[in-house]
Amino acid sequence: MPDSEMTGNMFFFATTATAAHKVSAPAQEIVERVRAGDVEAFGELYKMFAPIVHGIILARVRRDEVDDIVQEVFLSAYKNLNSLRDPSAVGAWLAMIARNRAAEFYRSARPTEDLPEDLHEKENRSSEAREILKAIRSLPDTYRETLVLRLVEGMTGPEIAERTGLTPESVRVNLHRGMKLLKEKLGI
Amino acid sequence: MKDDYLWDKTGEDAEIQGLENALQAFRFQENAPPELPQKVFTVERKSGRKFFRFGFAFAAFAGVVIVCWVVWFQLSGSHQTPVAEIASVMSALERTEKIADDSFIESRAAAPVKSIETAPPVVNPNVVKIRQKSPPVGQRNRAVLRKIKLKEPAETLTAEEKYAYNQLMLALSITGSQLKIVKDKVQGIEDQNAVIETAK
Repeated sequence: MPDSEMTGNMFFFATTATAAHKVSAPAQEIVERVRAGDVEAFGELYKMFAPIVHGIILARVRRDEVDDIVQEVFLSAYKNLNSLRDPSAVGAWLAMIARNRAAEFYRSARPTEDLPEDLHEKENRSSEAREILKAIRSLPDTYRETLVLRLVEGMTGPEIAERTGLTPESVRVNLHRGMKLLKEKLGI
Repeated sequence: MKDDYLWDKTGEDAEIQGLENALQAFRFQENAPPELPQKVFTVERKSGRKFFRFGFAFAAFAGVVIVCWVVWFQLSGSHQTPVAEIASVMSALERTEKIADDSFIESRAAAPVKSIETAPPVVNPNVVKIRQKSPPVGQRNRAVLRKIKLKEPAETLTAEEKYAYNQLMLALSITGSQLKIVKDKVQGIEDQNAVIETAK
């Protein structure tokens, strides 16, 4: 099916709702162990899904707030793990919590202050990188999340599909259409 | 192929690699997972809410009891007829009595009334009547009236209305006196019965 025949948003929501592709068996086993009270298993779960959660939040929230929100997401997940019906869909579940937390961050409207310039220098991040991230964040939700996971977190398309619960086809479409829009924005 | 590199990093794409290198600075730095609580105290949180709920319910109940008590206290305090009401009634009664007396005197002067002879009550020296003493009603009402000075209502009666009113008051006073006679008779009978019983 050519890309022009469908919109990215429709594709994204349809595939999220069905969650056709689920996480492999190890994640399911890890969830069961966490539920049984295994703290080390929680560490494994964190290691496996933290990049996904980080990427989803980074696509929406300021960089200096991302790490705190990632921790909040995993704490919330730990407290509510018993409410997860299908342990094999833990990736999609965590992604959903991360999206909700990011939305809550803006709703709460915490008062913020600009960081001093020298702190930015200490972080040693080029203005070019900030500009690219800004351009990605200006894209529709459907594309920016997938692009951050691919370009920032360095995950491949199949990995993104596996951990977020999206179908590989939708991830491929989102990547290509998102990259096309990003290049247009950056003038590449 | 360019598409393959974007999808699974096979092949080469200088543009995408350049973007990846630039954005690498924002990549997730692996760190320790968040410290987990010893236990998830969901029950404790609920119990706190429960305690708050009980506290609120108790406070509400106490408030209702206090309000009821105050209302009851006020009602019991005002169980007697309000003073103002008594005063108005008494002033009206006084006025009617005065008018009735005047008209009675006038009517008596105009037409002599037959004297009604009644049998004197039998008095037994052995029987001692004891009556509970209480301040006369008129005296009490006057005391109340002294405390509360009421405005006298303006009398705007026509001559005909005044005549009718006087006639009515006359009738009432006659009825009252007749009732008094009946009462005295009844008391006399009761006294006789008492004497007979003591004699037996």
